[in-house]
Amino acid sequence: MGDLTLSIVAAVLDIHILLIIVEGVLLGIIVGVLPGLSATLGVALVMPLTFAMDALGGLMLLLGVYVGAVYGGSVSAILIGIPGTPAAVATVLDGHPMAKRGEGGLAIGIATISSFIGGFASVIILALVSKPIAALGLAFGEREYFALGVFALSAVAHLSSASFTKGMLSAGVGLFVATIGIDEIHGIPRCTFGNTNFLGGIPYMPVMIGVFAIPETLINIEMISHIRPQIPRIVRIFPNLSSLKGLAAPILRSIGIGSIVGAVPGTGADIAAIVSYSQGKSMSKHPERYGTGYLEGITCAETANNAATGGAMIPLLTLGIPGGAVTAILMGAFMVHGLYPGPLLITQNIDLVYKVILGMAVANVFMLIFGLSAAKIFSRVSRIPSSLLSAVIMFLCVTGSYALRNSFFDVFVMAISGLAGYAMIKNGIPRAPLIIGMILSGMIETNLARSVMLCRGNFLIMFTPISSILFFLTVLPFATPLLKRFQKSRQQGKPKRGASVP
Amino acid sequence: MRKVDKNVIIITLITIIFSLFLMKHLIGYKFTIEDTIGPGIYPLTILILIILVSIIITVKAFAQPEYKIISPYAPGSVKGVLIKSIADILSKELRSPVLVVSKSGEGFFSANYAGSHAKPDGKTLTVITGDRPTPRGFLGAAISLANFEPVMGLTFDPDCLVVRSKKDTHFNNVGNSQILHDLNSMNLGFSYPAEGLHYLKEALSKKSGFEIKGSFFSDTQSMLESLENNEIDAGFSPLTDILSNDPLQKQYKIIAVASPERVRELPHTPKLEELGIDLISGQWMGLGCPRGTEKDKMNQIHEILTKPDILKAFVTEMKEKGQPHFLQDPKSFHNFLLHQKQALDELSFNEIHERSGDLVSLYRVSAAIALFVAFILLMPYFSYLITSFLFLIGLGIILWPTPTRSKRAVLLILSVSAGVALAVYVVFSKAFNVVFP
Repeated sequence: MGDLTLSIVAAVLDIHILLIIVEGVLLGIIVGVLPGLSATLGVALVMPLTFAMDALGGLMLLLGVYVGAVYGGSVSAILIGIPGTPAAVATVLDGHPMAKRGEGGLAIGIATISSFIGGFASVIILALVSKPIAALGLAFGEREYFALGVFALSAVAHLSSASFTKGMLSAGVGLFVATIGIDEIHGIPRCTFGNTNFLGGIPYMPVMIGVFAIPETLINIEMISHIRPQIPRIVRIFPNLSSLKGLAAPILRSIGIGSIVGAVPGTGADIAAIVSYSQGKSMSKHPERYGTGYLEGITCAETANNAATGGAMIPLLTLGIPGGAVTAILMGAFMVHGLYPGPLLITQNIDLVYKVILGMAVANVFMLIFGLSAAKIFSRVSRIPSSLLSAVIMFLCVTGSYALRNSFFDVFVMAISGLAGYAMIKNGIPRAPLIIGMILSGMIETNLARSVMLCRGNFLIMFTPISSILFFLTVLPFATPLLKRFQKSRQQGKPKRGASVP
Repeated sequence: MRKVDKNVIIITLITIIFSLFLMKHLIGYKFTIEDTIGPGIYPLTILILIILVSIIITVKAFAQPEYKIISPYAPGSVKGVLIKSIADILSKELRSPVLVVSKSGEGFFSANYAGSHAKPDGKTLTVITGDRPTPRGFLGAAISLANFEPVMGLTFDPDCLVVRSKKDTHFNNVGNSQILHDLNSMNLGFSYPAEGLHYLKEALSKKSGFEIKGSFFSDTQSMLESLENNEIDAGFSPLTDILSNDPLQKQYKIIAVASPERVRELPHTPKLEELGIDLISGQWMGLGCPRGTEKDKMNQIHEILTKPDILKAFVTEMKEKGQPHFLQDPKSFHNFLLHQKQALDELSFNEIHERSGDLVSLYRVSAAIALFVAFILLMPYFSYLITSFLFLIGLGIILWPTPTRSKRAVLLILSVSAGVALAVYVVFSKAFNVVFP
């Protein structure tokens, strides 16, 4: 055990890995600071670079970008009032008023420390719960995995969009696209239409780059303005002890909220931040101060959004279920290096899993160091012209897709996915279920085939205790509104008009 | 003909047609092989699911969407109840359910965000307000104008200038110009906390030409206590704080209101504009639709709520709830908000990022997509470096905002394009062994 710990620490603290983490965090913070660029886009753009690296190096780079980007959004949220990433949406409410009265540095300092505490604590939670959850996952067989895949997809479709049907459409398309190519079970080509390019299936990486990076860039192009943001002067960043007084309870609460929300499929750092901010306001002794430039508001938002990063890794590492766009990309990174996250990875490759977890903790430490020391430099990054940035991002998408396999087919796939992704955004169709559908499709089909083989015609065997619970949870979002409507019509006769929805 | 969401219908129809075509291909596969599902079953099932979901989405696109009012107030609050009354009136007149979606909290951010991102089909109204935790109505007006089409003003509680009535008889007989002159030397109290920049004080200073001296209080009561103790000479507070309290009305005199018209209850009290300070300030609330909503849909809402019998009942209800009614048609409400936004602009504090016109955005996006596609199609046939360089320059110049396009900007674009194209080529070809055309 001691040897294992030492080898894990030695591997992560290797100068080569540390440099990669530093690069990732710096890149991530820069991506996060730039308004309109999300953590997902940053991770997607960096993904092609990881192919030439070893598994640990590649994952560290991606996790560094993830951790850095989620934090980086707070800098522009505070200084210019525009959230750099969706996760910083709640930080604007109190951070920007503080910047306007000359306390931008203090706001950034508190945001940095809160982000570090949230991120680091969630990593500790991840380390503690990963083994027990993975042990539970070992009890999963093919029927349970099939049910889990269906449940995860349904949850993502339900939670990632206001419209469940649009989420299911996106998930369905993702599931189908992954079936193109040679069938994993029987080795028979499907929907290739004689084209050799399709024999290997639709490559996942270009679709991911196209679906996440191109639409966001096109949306940024729509919003290009000639008005350059005015950056207030940052005077003092490191907060004194009196500023930190009274923040312990909000921090602890936000860690819990962020970790739990992050672990739920379909949610992410942005929802964690908003939920934590709302809860903080309702439980605060001074709720009227929220929105006026109140440190507690910043703390709640920033602690939760970084705590969600560790939380999001829980279902990915323990069960092999990506809960959102970033973890879907990370899962792709694992798969590219021949690793399949889940209980088996934890039991057979526990050292790699703990290296990843320790690497995340180190990334949070670097995030703290850079955030407190270089915030003034990062703030200037937000002045990079959007026009140039958009052109460079689109160029990198093309280059990155081509670089995967030196194939123009991948570039075409990326382009088509990108334009489809843009159409999806404009019509309220969520993109995360499409990517997660592509990733989970193979697992769902394989386990379905094995389950059918096991059942030998008696489909009641599909319903084991665990799979039954998962199927029930899948059906619950459909059944609940119908039950409510039925109850209401029984109690009141005619449905009421002008009803309020809290 | 009722408007339907054409884009969604086109997408779902294409999806259905494509799915049927693929289903025809997959039906040829065996259904079972060696006691398990054949290669066609799983993708067929998914296609059936896709078709079913697409049909549901298509039907929903044709279905009459529900009317919604997105409210930043909690359902049980005074304003929340008022909004529900509006929903009840509208649902009766429109003969369609009107749902009140309460998104309270987060400094009204959630309601604003949800409302501004809703479809501009006239079915989603948002309660827009200058009643934000901070700052005062000016920024709320600017944000509302940026994100919404004003539909109707509902309430407005203007700020008013109060003095002690018994002790200060000075103001009983002086003219408006004297009051304006006196403001220069007064220590004014503001019954709003000094958290952040104080727009009202700054706006007063700007409009009057004087540097207004101000003291800030957490509420009207504290401000009035200071006024009573001669710590301040006069104070600004919401009008309803004074009018709703009979003892206060006797103790204090309102000498001016920051309202566009003289207040009904105080017909002899001048507006600030009459004193020479063209300023409207106070807590207001109204209804807005997402930008791009047709004017006739907005006018319809206003016409319903201002029908004589409905209006009478509505105004009575507002009075009972202590809400200062200030019903304005879309144009008047727009002008009301514009007046406050102009105050903000004059203070150079307006950081609301004006979006470019929709047409400009459309051209930009179309040009970006065209160049992107051209780059991808031409790259296999021409040198990667040259096509990349041309793509970056072309896109950089097209996207560069027109007002600031200059020789310097073009040089910057050229140098960045050359640098990025070369750097990426070198890094990918040397470090990652990528073979570019």
